[in-house]
Amino acid sequence: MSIKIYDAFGTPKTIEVAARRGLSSFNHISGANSLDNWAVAGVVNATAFGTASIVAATLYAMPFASPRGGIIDQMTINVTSAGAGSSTRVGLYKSIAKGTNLYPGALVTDAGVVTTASTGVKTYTTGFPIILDPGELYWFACVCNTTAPVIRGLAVAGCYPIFGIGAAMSTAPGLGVSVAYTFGTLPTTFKPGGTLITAAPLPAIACRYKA
Amino acid sequence: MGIKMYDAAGVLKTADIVGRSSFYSSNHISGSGGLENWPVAGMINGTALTTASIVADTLYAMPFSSPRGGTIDQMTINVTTLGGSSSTRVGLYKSTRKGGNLYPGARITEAGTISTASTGVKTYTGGLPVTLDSDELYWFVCLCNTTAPILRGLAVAGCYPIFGTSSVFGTAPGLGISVAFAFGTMPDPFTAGGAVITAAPIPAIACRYSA
Repeated sequence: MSIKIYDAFGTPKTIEVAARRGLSSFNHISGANSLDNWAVAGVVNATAFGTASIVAATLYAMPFASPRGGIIDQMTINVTSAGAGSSTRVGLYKSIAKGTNLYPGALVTDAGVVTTASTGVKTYTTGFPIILDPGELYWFACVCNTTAPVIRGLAVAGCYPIFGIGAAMSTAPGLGVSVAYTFGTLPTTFKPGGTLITAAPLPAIACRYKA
Repeated sequence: MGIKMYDAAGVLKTADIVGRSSFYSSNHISGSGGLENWPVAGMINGTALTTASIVADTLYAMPFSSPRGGTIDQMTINVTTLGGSSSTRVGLYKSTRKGGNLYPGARITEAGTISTASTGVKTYTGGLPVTLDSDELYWFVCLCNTTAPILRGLAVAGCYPIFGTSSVFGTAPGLGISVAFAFGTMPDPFTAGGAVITAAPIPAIACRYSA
């Protein structure tokens, strides 16, 4: 949607309402000009990734925004240590209320289940492509069963403190949400009662822009 | 500037052009979904908070923006080491000129003065709630008298470099503003001649969203 607004003197005013951009507003279409871009939920700077020893039967959610909108066609995780007999589901949620109640709410897509009994990048394509709403705060979610794999993870210092600091003003900002959830199809509404993620494990869940 | 736009069917479309969500424009109403949210002025990532040995009779200002607007009803600091007989004032300023001259300007509220002769979180409600302007860069400000307490503080690596680097292109980005000011009612406008904060102490001043 492109709209230009002019004042009574013919001066373009659109920039005041439409062009509020920062580096975080840009997401490269992966492959354009031969450059990959796999946007990772929760990442805010270039702190090196680590690993995440996620816990089985726990639903993890990391925040993701796409101020330019766009279309994603894949989600991925990277298994760095296999979990024998394990599988991992990945999905996409939106917040309960845009901008104000950020707790994960409605399921946008359960992107499927892939075995994580071997190492390497696992790609999820179920329910894609998805057109992203520029006004939405999304959540990339994952849940695995036993024996849990170790997957690529984020460092605390590399995450955006989406939930600020707690009322006790301690030292650890809130970076995501986790909640116990029996492995299976992802819930159509994210399970309530989650707690803030303030430390590892912080699973790295990525997506690919196709437009 | 407030503009509402409708399509030919009468459906509100304003959100399509102004509602570009990013991490920075998503501020959770504290308590919604059972999760707290106390955003800290100047905090940009998950780097653990530390302490700030602030200096008496010095105004400290840390930047804060709220692209979604919203309403805040409390501001807080956390005294980690008491200052004998000390008190600390907290206040809210806006910039001298939106988007252009970011130096703290007009005082919006002095949220009060509270004894910091004991440890723990101190909650300020004077002049609050305040409805935030989505276009404004605000400054959360504190000021104490002798003997200065030690407050919860930000690590340099956890701050947004609002003032980039200086003209000498050294190694330390500008994170906030400090300036000498005799303890008392906070000035309106903010005292001129401040220096850029590039190192500790960096006080953590938080707020709570009520809407």
